[in-house]
Amino acid sequence: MLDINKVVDGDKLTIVLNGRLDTTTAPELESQVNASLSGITSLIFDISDMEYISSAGLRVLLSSQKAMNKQGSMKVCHPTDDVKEIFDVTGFSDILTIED
Amino acid sequence: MNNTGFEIKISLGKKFLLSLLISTIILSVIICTVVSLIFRKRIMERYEYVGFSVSDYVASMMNGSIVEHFKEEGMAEIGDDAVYATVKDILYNAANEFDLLYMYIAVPEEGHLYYLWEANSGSEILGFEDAYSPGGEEWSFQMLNNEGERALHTFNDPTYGAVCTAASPIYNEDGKPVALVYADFSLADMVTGIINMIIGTILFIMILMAIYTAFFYYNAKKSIVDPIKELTVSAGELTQRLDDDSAAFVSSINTGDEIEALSHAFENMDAELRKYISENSRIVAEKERIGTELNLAASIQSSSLPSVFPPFPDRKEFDIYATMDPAKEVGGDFYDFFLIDDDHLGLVIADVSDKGIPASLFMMVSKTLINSNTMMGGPTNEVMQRVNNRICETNTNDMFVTVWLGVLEISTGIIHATNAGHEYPCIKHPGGQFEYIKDPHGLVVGAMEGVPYTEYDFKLEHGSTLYVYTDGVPDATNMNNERFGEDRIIGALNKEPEADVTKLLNNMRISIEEFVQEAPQFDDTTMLAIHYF
Repeated sequence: MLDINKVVDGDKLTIVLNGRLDTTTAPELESQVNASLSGITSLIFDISDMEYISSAGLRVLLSSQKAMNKQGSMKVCHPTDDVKEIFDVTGFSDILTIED
Repeated sequence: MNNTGFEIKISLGKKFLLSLLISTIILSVIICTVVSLIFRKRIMERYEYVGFSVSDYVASMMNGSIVEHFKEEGMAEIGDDAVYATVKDILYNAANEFDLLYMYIAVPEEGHLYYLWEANSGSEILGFEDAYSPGGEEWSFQMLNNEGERALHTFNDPTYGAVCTAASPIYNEDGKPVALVYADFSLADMVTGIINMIIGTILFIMILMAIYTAFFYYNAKKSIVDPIKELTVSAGELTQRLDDDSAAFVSSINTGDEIEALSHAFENMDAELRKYISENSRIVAEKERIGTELNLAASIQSSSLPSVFPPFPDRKEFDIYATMDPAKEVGGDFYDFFLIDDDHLGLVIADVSDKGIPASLFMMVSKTLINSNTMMGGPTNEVMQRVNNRICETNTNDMFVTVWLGVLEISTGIIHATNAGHEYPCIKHPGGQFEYIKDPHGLVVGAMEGVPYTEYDFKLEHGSTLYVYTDGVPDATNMNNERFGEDRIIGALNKEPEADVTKLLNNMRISIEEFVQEAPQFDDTTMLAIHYF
């Protein structure tokens, strides 16, 4: 299960994720992100309470990153150690801006 | 016969008849009771009028002193007294004229009635003392003294049945009442009249109800029972008729009421059902088609992976085994191995970032590109770069694939490998235990064009085993939402580290099954192991 909370502050969108971002929850996040990106120049994923991310979840982050490359910047904040290791193993640490 | 499997216990027609019968009976009882009561009241009113008129008339002709005289004289002194006989004649004539049961003159005394004249008796009646009928004494004194309301006295006579009596006083010269003129009517005629009237009424009502029933039953049958029967039969045959488009239900009921509305509703239902069924059969056919194609796709996918073991029976330097269990019909995981030349064996394990048909298509493309680029030769990191660039060119859906690619130099046991975002491989050196190789990781393939990859190498000693897998293994989850995890992988491998590769993978599969129990799995699970002799 995944809780998705969106906070818009002008052209800055913060998405707070709580739970598991996997095959079953990724499509919901993807449609929510796609619906909210217009006019946003700063996208922040707060994933301090996201316990797990699967490859389907990584794909959502990747497509968000590609979209933000055209219109602004994207940051992924406060990953847990487990999630951080997944970023490292998959090489996503190299293409995402990750803040502790 | 209604095809519904329901046995009709009592038909609507019988119910109508039964309720008509019951209402006829109730109606008859009410009408007879009311009519009898009215009839009786009228007759009694008439008897009262006639009775008192007769007794008043006779009493008015009587002289009180004569009455007193005869009472004092007594029977012995009368003989053939002309006055006595005249009075008797008057009584006799009046009784005959008005059809009275009795007509007599008597003096009410305490405990008995003292007779003076009686219409049908001679002088022998004079002085006869007779007991009162029940309530007769009180009533007689009321009439004598002109007290209370003037009303008939009714009682039951053992011989004549119901009898009612009127009485009028005879006064003497002093105006004192000395005797009463009694006029008795038999009520037997009235009772017979009432019974006749009741019989007549019942007969009349029955004939009326019979006509009404026949009319009503005919109408009810025509407008309710028959249409319902027709609808019932149609409903019962509905499932058989649905196969035949020409047998659609068409309402033929024209009662203009709720039944016709029901019939039209039924017609609509029939039409809707036909529409629904044809739509449904189309969907089912479509689903079947998709299912068949999915099975075909699954079979194509699984046959695209090398699945005959041992794959190279004449190569005694190594033993290799691999499995793939997709979570859906088709998966995004794959493994591959192929001889590049006599001394080089390509090893691939990979995981596409999705499940189902899109992942399987992406997987086929990836597998082919990796295979052909590896066959072309060159360092594995360069192979990976080429593959990545090719995939990025056409990757519009942001899908990606994690890949571990290794090329084994069969003669030396040296493996050159590149890891593109894939899980750490596990290695067991001769006589040792399995452990992770913390190899350098590049970005997953398909995420970003032009990224560089690193090649690293390690050596398989004779007796070493290499185990690679996809994230379905560590991510297998039990009912408590716990992951199987990296530590359990090493634990499962080291249960029997010396087992052959087939046994090794089976052990892993059993360990995972024991861990997850009944919890459903959402990820493909793929493993490959190679033992270097």
